[in-house]
Amino acid sequence: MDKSMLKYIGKRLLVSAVTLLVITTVLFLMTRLMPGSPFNSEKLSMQQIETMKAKYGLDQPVYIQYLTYLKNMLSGDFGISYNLYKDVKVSSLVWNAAKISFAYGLAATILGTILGMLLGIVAALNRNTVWDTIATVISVLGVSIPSFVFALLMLILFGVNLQILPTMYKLDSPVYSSILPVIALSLSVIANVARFTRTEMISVLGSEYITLAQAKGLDRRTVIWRHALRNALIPVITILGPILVNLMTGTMVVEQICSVPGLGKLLINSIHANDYNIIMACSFLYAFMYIMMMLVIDVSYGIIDPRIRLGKGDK
Amino acid sequence: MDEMEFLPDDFELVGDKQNIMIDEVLPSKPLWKDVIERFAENKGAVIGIVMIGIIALLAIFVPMVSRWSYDTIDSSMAALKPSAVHWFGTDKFGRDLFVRTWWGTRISLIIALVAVIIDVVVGMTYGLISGYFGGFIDEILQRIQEIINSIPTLVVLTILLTVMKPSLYTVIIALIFTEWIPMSRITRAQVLKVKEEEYVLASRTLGAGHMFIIFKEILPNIFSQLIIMSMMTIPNAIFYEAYLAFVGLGLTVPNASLGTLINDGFAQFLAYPYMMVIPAIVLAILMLCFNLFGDGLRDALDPTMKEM
Repeated sequence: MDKSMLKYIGKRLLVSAVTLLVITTVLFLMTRLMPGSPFNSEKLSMQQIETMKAKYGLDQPVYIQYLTYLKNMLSGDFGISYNLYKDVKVSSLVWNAAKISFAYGLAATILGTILGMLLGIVAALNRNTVWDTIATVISVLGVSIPSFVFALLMLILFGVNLQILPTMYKLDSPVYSSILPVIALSLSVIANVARFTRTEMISVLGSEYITLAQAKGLDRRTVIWRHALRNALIPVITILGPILVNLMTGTMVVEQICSVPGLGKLLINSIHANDYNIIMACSFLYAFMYIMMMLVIDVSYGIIDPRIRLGKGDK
Repeated sequence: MDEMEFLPDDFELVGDKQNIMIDEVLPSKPLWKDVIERFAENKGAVIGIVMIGIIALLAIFVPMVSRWSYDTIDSSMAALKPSAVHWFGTDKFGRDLFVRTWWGTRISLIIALVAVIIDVVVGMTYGLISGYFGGFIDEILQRIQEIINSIPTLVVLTILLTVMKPSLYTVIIALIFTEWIPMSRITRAQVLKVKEEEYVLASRTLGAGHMFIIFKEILPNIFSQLIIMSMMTIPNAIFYEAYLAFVGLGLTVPNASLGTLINDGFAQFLAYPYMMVIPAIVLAILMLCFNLFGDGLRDALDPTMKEM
């Protein structure tokens, strides 16, 4: 890694830190200055609400609350839940939800990448045949149709009509309940990876060193497995970044649809309940992951395939 | 590789068939004709635009001519299955879903169009200023854009959700926040490329002002890129509208969009799956067609950008 790369990473980390601070500040101000409070229950008298606010430090001036929050956050303390899960630590709530969301995202990525690569390879090796058409149709559908529509349609088909998959998340069989959302999420991954693999594979198969390998008298299998595949598949890593970002957006609604107790559902519930600390923690985690992912993507572009730095249009 | 054997008639002379002395002149064609021809060759794109046309016509005329209206509540006809009278059935308030679906499509299309227009205006202006004037202005605008771009859409939505009430304007504001960045990037990149061209230099030497150069020299030459980009924004906007409806930022009843229809249907999909499936399928077809159309337009306007 050369010096300019390190300088670039340093600059990006600085911008990321500033962005995170901006996001935290805006979110904090928005949640505090908003109409409505976490204690909007009709059962509580004015006095009780005041006591509650004093208990959680919500009666202090906003800037003091903000500074306290920042100080606590830096030591890993995201406060406690006000009303959704009375007095439970937010960090443990978010962590439990995040574990499920991460597992789903990871499963969908792995499943989608493997299937997508297979589909792309099969399509590239059998150009202009039925296989190629099938792969193209799948990738066009998967790219255009949002994952939550797939989730909804699958829910109707497999959950309601055929009744082979659960329509709700079941705590006692998490794997069984995860089948449907994971497949729905992985479809866009399959589509994107298949499309990209096909293009890469075709361009690699047309390159001169493949002709050389064939001219040398190597059999087809060796040419494909040893020479073509490796060079065609490495660039796929570079498109996984944008795909993961897409997945993060998709999970929020798919979790809602399949009633999965993940990050997205926790965030939506906390917004409806005005539970400030959970809103803050979830958004912070999303922003942090997103920013880190963008950084890793941009850096990996340069390392894995220097050609990509030129941009697609220049090839 | 197998042993190869060459036979005498494996090779034949082709050289004589082409006479290089005759200069063949192809008739010159205007650009738009070329574009239309290339577009018409693309089957997917043609199907896409035809379907978009049909859906748009249905969205415009069904709510106008139907004897049902999208917001009349009639509890005597609540939750009827699709039949000859109510083609898509009725919802739990007895509103005809055939009319509501096309009404929702109309709203979704309007949202998409408004979002695209504002988007093009904001993104294009930003990219033009940043790319054309360069230097210090570019530096500042790019830093600002970098920070805004690194705020995930989800967080923008969260902020909007806490601050604003669900309405048509909220949806459009949410779209403006997130969608202008790709547009401004493309514009900036194109402007950077074009502004160094010799015809721009010539124009400047002749004494043309900034406004003249921007509107008469640069814009017409980057226009096809901008059209392609704005076409890609439409399916995105339709998707985000539906997405927003699901996280609770959609339109308020009795108004409807495809997103809110799907969301309403989802609340009772176990009992009445048709309430959700039909708008979901319309949404899927609409997005698919806009994607096909956008891809076809890209290949037709700029064959060098072709991916596959």
